[in-house]
Amino acid sequence: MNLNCQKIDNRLVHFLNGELPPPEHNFVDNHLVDCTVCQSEYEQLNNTMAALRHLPQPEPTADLVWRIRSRLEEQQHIEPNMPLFDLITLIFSKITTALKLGPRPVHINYAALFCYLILAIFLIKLTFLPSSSSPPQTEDGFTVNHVAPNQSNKYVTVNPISPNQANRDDITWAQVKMAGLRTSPDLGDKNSIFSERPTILRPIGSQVLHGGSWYEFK
Amino acid sequence: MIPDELWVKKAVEGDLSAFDEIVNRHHSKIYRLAYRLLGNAEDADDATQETFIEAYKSLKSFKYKSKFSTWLYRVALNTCHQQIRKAESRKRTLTAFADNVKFLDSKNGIETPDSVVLKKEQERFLQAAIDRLPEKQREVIVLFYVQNLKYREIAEILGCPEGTVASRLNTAIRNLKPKLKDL
Repeated sequence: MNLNCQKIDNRLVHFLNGELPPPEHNFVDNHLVDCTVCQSEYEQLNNTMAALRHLPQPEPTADLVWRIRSRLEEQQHIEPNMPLFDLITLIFSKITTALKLGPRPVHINYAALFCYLILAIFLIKLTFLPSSSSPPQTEDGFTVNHVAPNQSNKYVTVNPISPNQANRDDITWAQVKMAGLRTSPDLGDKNSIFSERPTILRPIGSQVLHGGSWYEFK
Repeated sequence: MIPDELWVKKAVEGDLSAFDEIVNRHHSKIYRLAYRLLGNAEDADDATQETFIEAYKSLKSFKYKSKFSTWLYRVALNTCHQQIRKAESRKRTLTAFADNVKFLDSKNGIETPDSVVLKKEQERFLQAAIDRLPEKQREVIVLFYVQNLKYREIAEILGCPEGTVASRLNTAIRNLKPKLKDL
């Protein structure tokens, strides 16, 4: 390879791409007519570039656009302070994407709206309607079977019943005193077994330690 | 045809269907770019999705100083680079070649099964050679020969002078040449 060949070699790719200015193009063109070494190099480069130019163009699968759209919708929903409705929509969207069901977003929204309504009804019921479940029970077995503000609105009335038996005799004044409870009528310092079931008063919002546990009367 | 930039404005304002239009217009070429850079259909599919997700997220950073497609190519290249850096991707690149990928028909019309197999073999060989190129050379080869972009456009995408593009292309072809001797 002589000096001319070296110059030509440096220009062959650009020559093949048609990027050389006319004088240089002609110079390379003329050289190639006579030089077999450069002709061989030219052929190899030409084949390489032709192979690159004719690379098949792969096509994406038909559902790629839809999958991008689904992910964008998810992306829109993954934001701070995400409303509950969007959360449900997102969950539905993820499920349908995973199952490749391919519903339109509007269907996901309808399904989410339906779930939202069901949830709202449940929450309203839980908040406003009285519970039919059994009355709350303290850890040491006292069942609070009635809690309601009294007339002065300062106390709640609590009627504790022994878990063992509905026998008022096993509730002693000592127990009541220890619990920091007041009774109505006031039984004073009577340190004996109750002869009748008392009504016990506590200030609203106050807490008492009873049987190792704290109880708050609201 | 409505220019991309108008759809971008609408998409920035929250119109997701405007971004759909952008996806419809560009997803094929981004997929082809990713396919040739990553070497297989699965990674190309992932990269295409990621490219558009990332583009949507950072759409506000598009300053309308360049063509939107140039900006999108940059996003796609960054996404592909991230994928390449995942070791799995590189391993798959050299071994797996998606047989179920559909290719656009060649110019020769009807093809015999033998010629189809031969073409696939040639393509596999060529893709493997491209995969072995250094990243910067591979980018230039794919942008020039697969995306048919001009030096000026490639330079703008890569953020380098046109001379650098020409030089990288020259080097890349010379690196490919000995590997493709028997093609």
